[in-house]
Amino acid sequence: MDAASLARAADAAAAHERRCLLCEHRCGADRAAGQLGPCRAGTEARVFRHRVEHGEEPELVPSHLFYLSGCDLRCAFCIAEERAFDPRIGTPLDAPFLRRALEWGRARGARNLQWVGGEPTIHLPAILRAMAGAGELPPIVWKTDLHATPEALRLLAGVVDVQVADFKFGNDACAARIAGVPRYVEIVTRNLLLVSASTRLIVRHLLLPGHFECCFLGIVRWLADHLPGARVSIRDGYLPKWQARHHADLRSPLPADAGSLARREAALLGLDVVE
Amino acid sequence: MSDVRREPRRQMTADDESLTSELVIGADGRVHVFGTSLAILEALDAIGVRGDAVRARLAAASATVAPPTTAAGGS
Repeated sequence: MDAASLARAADAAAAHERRCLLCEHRCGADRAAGQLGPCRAGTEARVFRHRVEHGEEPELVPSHLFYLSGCDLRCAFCIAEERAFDPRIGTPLDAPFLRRALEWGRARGARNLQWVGGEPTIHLPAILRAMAGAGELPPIVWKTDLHATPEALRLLAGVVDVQVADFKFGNDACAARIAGVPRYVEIVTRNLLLVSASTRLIVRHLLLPGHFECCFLGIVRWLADHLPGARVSIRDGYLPKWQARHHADLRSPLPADAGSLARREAALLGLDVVE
Repeated sequence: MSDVRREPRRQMTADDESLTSELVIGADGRVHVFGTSLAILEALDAIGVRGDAVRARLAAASATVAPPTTAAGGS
């Protein structure tokens, strides 16, 4: 997408700064007037870290990750902790900052620009504005909780080359208890089908202790049924962080063999499992 | 929803953590890496941690002769 198209997309996205319907909280906040919805974000996006990562999926590395503060979910185990939830943290994102940072990343071999969070979708207007003015861009990767509205996903179509989508919970009860979000499975599965129709997709799942049956199996079975052969990245690096201590099931690390068991199960279901 | 416009209470520079990584070694000996640089990947390969996964990423990194670009992103 060229700069003019990105600028038009940014203009369209700006409507959500007056009545925000970017995520499925659908709070309608007038962010430009200072109203705060559940994510607490205003109109400015802030980057609390950017770096060239080699630990992502092999097809993405080296990837230049831009971590934006602020999120629409409240996952108790979030590894980014406070930085993920407080959109006041970090350096304001604008085109000159992004241009300089991308030059830094290119010099270190980065092959793409990856927006991560928190959750980048809540900052879609600011991200599009920054990209429109940043000059030549590498391919764009969008790492998301996929709690977006179809309206937000439409704005991303044609902008993003790869969506890396977290599928965190296999049922609504776990999602409500651990992330404080209703209708989780309905929303994420709807969005996975929408995104997969137009964009290259990698589905990520962080294994949680004690959630093999209720979450992991539900997720991989849904993927096998509805997105057969989907590219799946199973993460086994869970550590009890942030508010995990408040949940008895989240206080322990994973069993050492959890990752290999889960990858084997996913492969048996015909999914394309990332090593 | 609230109407309280808040001022940023903390300013971090964006690259505060760009050149650092965090390694956590669990009680069971597993190594958790947050922020994997090429040097760390090479170190993990040398000590035999997650062999196939590490080697796949090293191969991908070494295959990057020049970063591919498009006119302005998108597909």
